[in-house]
Amino acid sequence: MQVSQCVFSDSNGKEQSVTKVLTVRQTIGKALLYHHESTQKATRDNLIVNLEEILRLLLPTTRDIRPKVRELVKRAIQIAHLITCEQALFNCDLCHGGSQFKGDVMYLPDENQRGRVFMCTFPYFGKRLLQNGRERAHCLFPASVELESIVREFA
Amino acid sequence: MLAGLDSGFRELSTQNHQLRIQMNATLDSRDEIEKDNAALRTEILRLREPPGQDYSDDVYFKKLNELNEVTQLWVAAMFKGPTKRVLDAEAEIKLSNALNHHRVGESILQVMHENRCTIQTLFQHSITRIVFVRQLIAIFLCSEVFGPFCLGTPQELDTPLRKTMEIVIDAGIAMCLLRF
Repeated sequence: MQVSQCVFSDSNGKEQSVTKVLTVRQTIGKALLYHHESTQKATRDNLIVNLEEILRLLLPTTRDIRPKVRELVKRAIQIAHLITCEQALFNCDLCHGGSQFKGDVMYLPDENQRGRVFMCTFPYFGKRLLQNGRERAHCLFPASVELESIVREFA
Repeated sequence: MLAGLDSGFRELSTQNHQLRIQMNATLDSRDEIEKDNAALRTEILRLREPPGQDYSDDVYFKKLNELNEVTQLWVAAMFKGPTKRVLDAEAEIKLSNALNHHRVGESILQVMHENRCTIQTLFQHSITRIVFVRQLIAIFLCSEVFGPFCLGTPQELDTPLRKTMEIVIDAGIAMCLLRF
């Protein structure tokens, strides 16, 4: 069932089409993007510089990482813009260190790893669904995680 | 000759009058059609299925998967390899601050502490270094790119905007109008 076709009711039995709410959100998102169009390049360049500055600290040898950092940021921004202009409610989050592994919202590349979550190497993306007055989270893309055993093995 | 002209003039006047009547009838008819057309458009809009998402969930999955894979491959290629370099104190502070840029940072530092692991030890081994770099990129994406309501919106505007939208989404437009 699509979000846009759902209807929720409050305690007084009044019904409000979620579609209208989502359309309002979508309209505001599109208007904001239009408003910030002239400053988007500066914002993007600033993000590229900030990310590069941090990542450069961890390079084993000196290398030029600017072109690839730019590509990654551009790709991410492209998706973020689509989400901003979408008629849906997305959310992006990271898994806490020390939490238990949950297969429905997390992806573990190495199945041999054991223990609690150590690091989250790619964020979780979800979508809020409102069905018959009840809200539920739908996993759009699971978070990639690494478990504690990796640090015990190598560190 | 004058009589002929007079007769011709009268005939033209009559034709002119008839044409005016026809023209007025056509204009009235056009106005009616215009009204019907507007009513039909309104009805079509009312009957039309509500518009759904611009892109399906599959499109988002594909794009996010691509971003994840491209990042993974690049980080593995760039940050792999032995190093004799030792992180200085300033670099460790910067990296710790980058971790704490998101609320999960504290929990990660806690797990590191419990496992007697430091940023320096993560840096010394290729595999943990790669994982750490990807964690930092994930924090960056989550807080700077996907976190804001709209990229480029100043923080002081973004937070109230997101909270307002959450209230409207939770309560619905009608309830917001009634309550506030």
